[in-house]
Amino acid sequence: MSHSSAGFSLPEALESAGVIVCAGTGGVGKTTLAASLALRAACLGRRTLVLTIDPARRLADALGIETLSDEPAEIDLQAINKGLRSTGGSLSAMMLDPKPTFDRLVDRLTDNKESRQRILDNRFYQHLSEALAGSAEYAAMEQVNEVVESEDYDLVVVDTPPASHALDFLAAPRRLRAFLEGRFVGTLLKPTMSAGRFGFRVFGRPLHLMLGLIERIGGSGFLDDLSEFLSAVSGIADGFLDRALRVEKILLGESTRFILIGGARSGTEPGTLEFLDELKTLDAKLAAIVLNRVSPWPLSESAEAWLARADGQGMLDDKRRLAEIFGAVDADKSRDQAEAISRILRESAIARSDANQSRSLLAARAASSGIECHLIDEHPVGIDRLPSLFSLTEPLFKETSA
Amino acid sequence: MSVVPPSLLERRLIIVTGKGGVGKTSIACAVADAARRKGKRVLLVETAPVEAAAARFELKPIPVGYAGRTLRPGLHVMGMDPHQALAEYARLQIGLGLITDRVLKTQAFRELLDAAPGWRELITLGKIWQVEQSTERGGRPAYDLIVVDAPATGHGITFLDVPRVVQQAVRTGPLMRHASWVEELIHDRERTVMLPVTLAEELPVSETIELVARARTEIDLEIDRIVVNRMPEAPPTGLSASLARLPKDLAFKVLPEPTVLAEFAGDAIARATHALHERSRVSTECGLPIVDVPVVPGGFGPEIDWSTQADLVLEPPSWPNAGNIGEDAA
Repeated sequence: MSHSSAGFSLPEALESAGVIVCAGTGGVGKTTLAASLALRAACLGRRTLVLTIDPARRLADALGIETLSDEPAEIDLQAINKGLRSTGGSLSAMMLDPKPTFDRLVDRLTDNKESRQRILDNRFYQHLSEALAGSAEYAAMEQVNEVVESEDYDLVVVDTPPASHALDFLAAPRRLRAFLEGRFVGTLLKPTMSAGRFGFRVFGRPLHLMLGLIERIGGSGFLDDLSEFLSAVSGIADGFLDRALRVEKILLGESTRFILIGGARSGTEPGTLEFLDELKTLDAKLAAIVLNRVSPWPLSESAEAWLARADGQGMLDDKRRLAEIFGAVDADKSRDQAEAISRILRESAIARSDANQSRSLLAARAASSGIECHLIDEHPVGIDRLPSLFSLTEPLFKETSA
Repeated sequence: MSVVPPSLLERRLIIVTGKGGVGKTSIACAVADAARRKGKRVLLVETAPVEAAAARFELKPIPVGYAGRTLRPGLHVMGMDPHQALAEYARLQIGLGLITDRVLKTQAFRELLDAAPGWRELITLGKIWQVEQSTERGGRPAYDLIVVDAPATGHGITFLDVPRVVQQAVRTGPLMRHASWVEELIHDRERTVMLPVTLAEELPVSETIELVARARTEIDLEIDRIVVNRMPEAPPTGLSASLARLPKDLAFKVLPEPTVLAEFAGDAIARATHALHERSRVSTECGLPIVDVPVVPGGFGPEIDWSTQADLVLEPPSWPNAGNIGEDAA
């Protein structure tokens, strides 16, 4: 059974957490897992919302929704066996817009047209807002803030944007906050700046040098524009900081649990381990680690043990038997077919043993915090119905032998 | 649609990109290693903060760092560090020495860098440009081929667009001039090519279609093929029918019992058939030929000899025949 400290296990999280965040590197099936967990919570009787990034067509079909929008859509749970469903629960889905423009944020935070226009017209804003990659992820997280504060749901399950930099969506508000509160902005916003670069003289020498260097690289007029941009932005800085803090407070709060999802292929551990370290550093509350889309394995015998005897005479005999039987139908192709069967088994066994190895590695790293590491098998052709979406996360709720 | 693009070995700069989890780093390593075995002097540039290339070659990889390390004869790998690249740039290109060091060390400057968008991408591309330009004594280029393991898809496009954006934001001065040089290299259809990597699965394929469209319209990049990684081998025709005929009471020595085997192999056949469909979809939608890289059992790791699979990346790409897939007798 779980060795987790109270309230930190996955079943407990599903029953009592306010927010569950599915985090991990890209391409590991976070979206589908998030939907599956949300469905389970709904079946436990909780009013649940899943905030997803762009779901696969099959997943949208499984949820019975053509297109998700940024308005919550209630999912019809009729397809789920009544025995599994308790009353009172509901599931809604809503799409996080992974590319919200910064314009929208400026819109929300400015109270008058003039200051809004001043920001939008600045050439720095125009050319650099599209490059604010981490901030776009942050802006998506702002949507989390809104639904959590609405109190319309008992549980919000959050699928996170694909981040090449581990926890961009958490790091972005911190970075921007540090910047806006920092010395650089303070310096550029001092009234003396309006006197142009002659004003530099009033600063300490390193700052003076820095501004000189920036001007030298960036060309004349660079600092004037930058300064104007910053003073325009500083007007909305308070609102921005306030929201950033609220998002951070929710995500790192007592009623939020993280689930770290990793890929099952060899070579993906470094990214997942980095996530694990960062979650620890941030003091985020982790409920489980999941290696998703593991190559299925049909035998109770371990893939490793099977591989150890798969190269011997036994396999040659088996292949010959297969070819004989297949040959009754089509003699020419029977050998190819027998070979293909043996290859399928072999490759699955190797992939499975890789996944087992990754699990040991991650489990060892997480052992001190009592976090379990689970495997979920790859679905043959993807999830396309609610019942298969439900059973996808079954392995996370079985008692493990560890 | 039977045009065969020039060999990857004729390029100077190959930008490997794709959705997270598709094996971008493995393919970048494969291209780099296959090229160096063909006698090219190759530089592999890692742009992710976590180094991953050396772990494909060495059991206990030591960090390669910004200065980089020679992993195999003819293959040098460097880990991009925007901060170090910036310091180098300021010193070499702008011609400032001690002053630069002092400035770069100030708290205020670090705060600025932490929050300022775009500079990491620009300085990364700038460093790649500088390496591309650098020559040995006698004028021979220091590297024949530079392979960049670029950031994952979404960021990958933003990354390549930064030089253009910067030129619009900064209208004069050395920064503007340098950004224009970098942009020129990226758009040079002779020297530079983007190599998208995908899996033959729904989401990676959809994202690749979007990536290729954006790279063409927004950045105007040369793309001449798509790598489909971990492409399952097409099941032999009639395999499903043969499996259905297996006597239930057959006892194997190593293989699972017939019912279990038939179901398990059936799932694998379904996956392979689905993969063939997705592969032809990405080719048709992008109008690009495909290079298949099969699954490397055990993965692109140091204990596995993956040179055969790596060599396949350099093979001429082919056009999947859309009419001839999923023919298994299932």
